[in-house]
Amino acid sequence: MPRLSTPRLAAWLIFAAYLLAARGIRNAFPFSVFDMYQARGTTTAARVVVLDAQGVAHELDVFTALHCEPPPQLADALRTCGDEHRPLEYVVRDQQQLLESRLAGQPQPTPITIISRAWTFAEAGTTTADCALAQCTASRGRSSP
Amino acid sequence: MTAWASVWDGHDRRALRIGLCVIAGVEWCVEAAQVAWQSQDPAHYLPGLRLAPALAAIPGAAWILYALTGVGLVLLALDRHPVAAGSWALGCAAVLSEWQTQVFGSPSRNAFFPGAAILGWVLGSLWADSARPRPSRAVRERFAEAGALGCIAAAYVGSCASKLLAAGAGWADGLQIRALVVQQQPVASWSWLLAWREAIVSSADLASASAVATLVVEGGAFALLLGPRLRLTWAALLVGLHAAILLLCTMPYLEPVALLVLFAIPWPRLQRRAPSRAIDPPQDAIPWGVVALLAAMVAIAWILAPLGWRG
Repeated sequence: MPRLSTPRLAAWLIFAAYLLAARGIRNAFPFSVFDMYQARGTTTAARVVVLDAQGVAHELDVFTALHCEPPPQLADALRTCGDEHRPLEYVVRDQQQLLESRLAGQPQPTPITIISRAWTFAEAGTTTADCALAQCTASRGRSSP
Repeated sequence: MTAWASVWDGHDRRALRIGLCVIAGVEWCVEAAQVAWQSQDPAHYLPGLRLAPALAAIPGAAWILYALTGVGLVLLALDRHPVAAGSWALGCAAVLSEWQTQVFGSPSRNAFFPGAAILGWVLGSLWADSARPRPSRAVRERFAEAGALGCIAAAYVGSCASKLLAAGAGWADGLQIRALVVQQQPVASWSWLLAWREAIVSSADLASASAVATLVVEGGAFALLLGPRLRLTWAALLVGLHAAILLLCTMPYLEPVALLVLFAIPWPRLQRRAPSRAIDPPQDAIPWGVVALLAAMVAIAWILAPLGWRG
């Protein structure tokens, strides 16, 4: 009888079985088709960022204390700013949590504007459009990479 | 079909086995911690379906699940009843994963990579163990390593297939990559990183080239099964892909990177260990029972398709 049962055969059959099983169930541990970013991208994308007094954009986590009256609901960007202001749901949820965890009761030294920035990718080039969500004051901490 | 070759041939695979369990243990610990606090924060996270509220009502349920998973991982690391121990760990981790999916709203694919590798290790062990007389541990773990690599490779090829099946060649236009860069973190304090991110966002050609490279590197991951040199080469490409994703999109996929480093780098040669024993000959007969099990696994996955999570 030929020696057929090699680790290579086992590896390829297990490879094929995982691939086919995952295509069936899509995502059920430990099977996954890893389809997180499978869709063709859209021509617009958005994210909440912070503008300082000079108009320079920063990540929200650069600021250690924020005072906003009232604190903004970042997920409202889509409703208040328009269709192109559609951030990733889990990203804006993390940002909202960060914002709430760093809210300060008193005004802080640095004026900032929390905005939704939408990028449009067109043949002529990439353009951005900003939509203000809240005027706040903040204290600055570390720089983000 | 040529013989399987591994840098671990002739060496004890204990470090490989323990390393696999440590990677899984660390990642699933992170997942348990996330589930523990997210399930207690209904203001920001979903209440979930039946499973999530039931588990959330049990004090310390996430950590109990993790401890149960850990029992399986420890036994697997010690090579005690590896098939049963690995299956137990996967079962407990599956419950934790389902809970995490219900609370967070989507599954944590970071946790799936070590899960897939352990599944492959278990299936490879089962394949070898089906021979009579039972093979030595060295032979069994040779098959286990092959199985784990099979599942790791399938994860990447599956990711490429998902993109091509969902978006066709259009995925290569780079729009998805540009969107991810700006949605995840467009701002950077490091000037070279900011310049790189802005170049991807503003240049359709550069973004498209990045998308094509992503498809090629993921789709070519079957090269992990083609021998130690190609395995090392392709693992380096995959690690490079993960590094680019981390820098451009701040998405840390450290688990697959750790697995690739563990399985592809010739650790025994780096430690200048001489092979301690000859390579065991391959087994004679194909274990048709295990082949049937693999076919059943695929069939069950398709039958249970409505239960799988879809984004």
